[in-house]
Amino acid sequence: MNKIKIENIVKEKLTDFEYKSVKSDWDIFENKLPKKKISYSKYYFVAASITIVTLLSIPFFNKQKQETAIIKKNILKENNTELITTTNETKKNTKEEKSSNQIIKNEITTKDEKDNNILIDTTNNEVETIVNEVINKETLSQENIITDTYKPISNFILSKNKGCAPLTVSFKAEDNNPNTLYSWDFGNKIKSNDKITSQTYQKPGTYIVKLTTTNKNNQKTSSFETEITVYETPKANFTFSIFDNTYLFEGIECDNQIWKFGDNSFSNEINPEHIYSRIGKTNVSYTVINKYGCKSEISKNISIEPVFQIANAFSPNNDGENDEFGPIFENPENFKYYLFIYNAYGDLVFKSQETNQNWNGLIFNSNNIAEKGAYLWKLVISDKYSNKLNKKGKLTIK
Amino acid sequence: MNFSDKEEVRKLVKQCIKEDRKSQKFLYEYFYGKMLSICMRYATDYNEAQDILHEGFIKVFAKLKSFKNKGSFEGWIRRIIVNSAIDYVRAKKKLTFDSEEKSIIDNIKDEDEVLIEAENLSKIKAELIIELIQELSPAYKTVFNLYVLEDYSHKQVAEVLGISEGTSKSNLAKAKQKLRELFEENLYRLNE
Repeated sequence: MNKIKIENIVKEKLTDFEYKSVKSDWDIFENKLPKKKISYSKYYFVAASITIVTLLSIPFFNKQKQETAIIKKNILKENNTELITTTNETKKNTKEEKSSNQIIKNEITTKDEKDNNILIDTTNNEVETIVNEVINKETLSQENIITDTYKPISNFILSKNKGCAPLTVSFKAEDNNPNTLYSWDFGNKIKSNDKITSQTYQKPGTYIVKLTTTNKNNQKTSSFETEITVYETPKANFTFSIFDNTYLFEGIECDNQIWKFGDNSFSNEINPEHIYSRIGKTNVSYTVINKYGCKSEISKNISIEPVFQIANAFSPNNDGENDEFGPIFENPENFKYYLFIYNAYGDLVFKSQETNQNWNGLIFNSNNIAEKGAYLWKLVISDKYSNKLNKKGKLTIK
Repeated sequence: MNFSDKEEVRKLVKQCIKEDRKSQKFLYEYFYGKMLSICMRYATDYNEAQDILHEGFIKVFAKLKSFKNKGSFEGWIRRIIVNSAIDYVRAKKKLTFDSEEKSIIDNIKDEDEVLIEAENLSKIKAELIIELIQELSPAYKTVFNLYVLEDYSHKQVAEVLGISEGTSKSNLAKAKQKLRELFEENLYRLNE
């Protein structure tokens, strides 16, 4: 295996890295940009040129008024029919004798009011009132047009786009327009119309989440969809068996696992073996993690007993064979014990004076060898952590 | 669009200064993926990165008038984005730096001592690395990003974050240690 400096791998991978498949969020960003200063210069130019045409027309054509009306009508037609009707009335009421000066004056007034899209020549008060109304309506309708032309954006923020089942994802639509209607399809046959919503995916799979936004005023819609991947979560469970002093744990099939044996030792093997240096109740925890990082954990309390051998018969006769009675541990370094021997009447005939002291067959506080017959032994075993365990058994002195 | 052609850059910049939305959009989208990847490293998640990116690009557009078109345009944008990330991290979270510990600094003889070993490390995806960097504390990741990825010196890091050089060094060392732990915890995801 090669050792790599951590910053080198980070640098190598990230220096020119860019997110390629991510859709740019320009629509959202654009709304945050400072509002554009609207320039009127273009409209002034149009207005001015029409004025010139009108002025030039006067000396040469008697019917100039009608032509002006046609220009007006054409421009106004684009707005709405109501305005055209008004214009026609304007035309009827307009006096025939009117000077070009007046026209210019009125047109300039119109320009000053920043109503650059329509030119209306007016000569009397009655008409002016109508024109003012027209201008008011025009302003109003422009506002309406601004609202009405609003095309909703359908970008949304989601809390995550992949994860382990059951996966709860919250969604937030980015569009804040009060006239926008939201329609979510979560890809799991569930739908919602809320701006902010959430969904829990129980089963693994790939889901397409689609948000459609609609401006209820003009029915303009926009939609955006994205994919959510839900990974399977493994279910942890294990069994164990004991061979001599060895605990054999068996887990499930999974990509990765962590065993915590309850004595500060760990393993990443699938079926680890473990020899305990402690006794008593121990909490074993088993965590499985698949390649997607989905994990589950189970823990069980198991009772650990030290493994030792002890004879059931004993002949204390100093023949150099089988002269001492006591347990033989598989891992003597891990345990300490005190031995107690009782006779058939329940009287204590021996007890260890120090840890791990075995019985040589002499009766407590005497030099007599114990008589043949049945005895009981008791072991008080303790581990490094001061957990204690008692074991009892029978013994025959031959 | 060729961004190494100064004349083309000049035209685009000019249009953007005029607030021509199409040109602004083009510029934004052209650099979006790359600048997002920078912001992600300073953020804890996508939403934060998006905020940083937006604030950064607003500054980019506001400062275009002062762009001299001498060096690289991308480098110029990148510096603004990085500064915006620093501002954001500083403002949003109180950066708590581990104080300068003599013992640690003394032990940093070779600054590249944090090694990692794994068979498939070269397969690791940039996305995963970013995810792991995001898990570092704001102070750790800011120092790490500036020193390792933006090639700042400890002196520069210290200046920009208002800390001492020693603090910069010890936070970098701890960031690397922590990052190694995160790498090791996530080794099983290398083939993701």
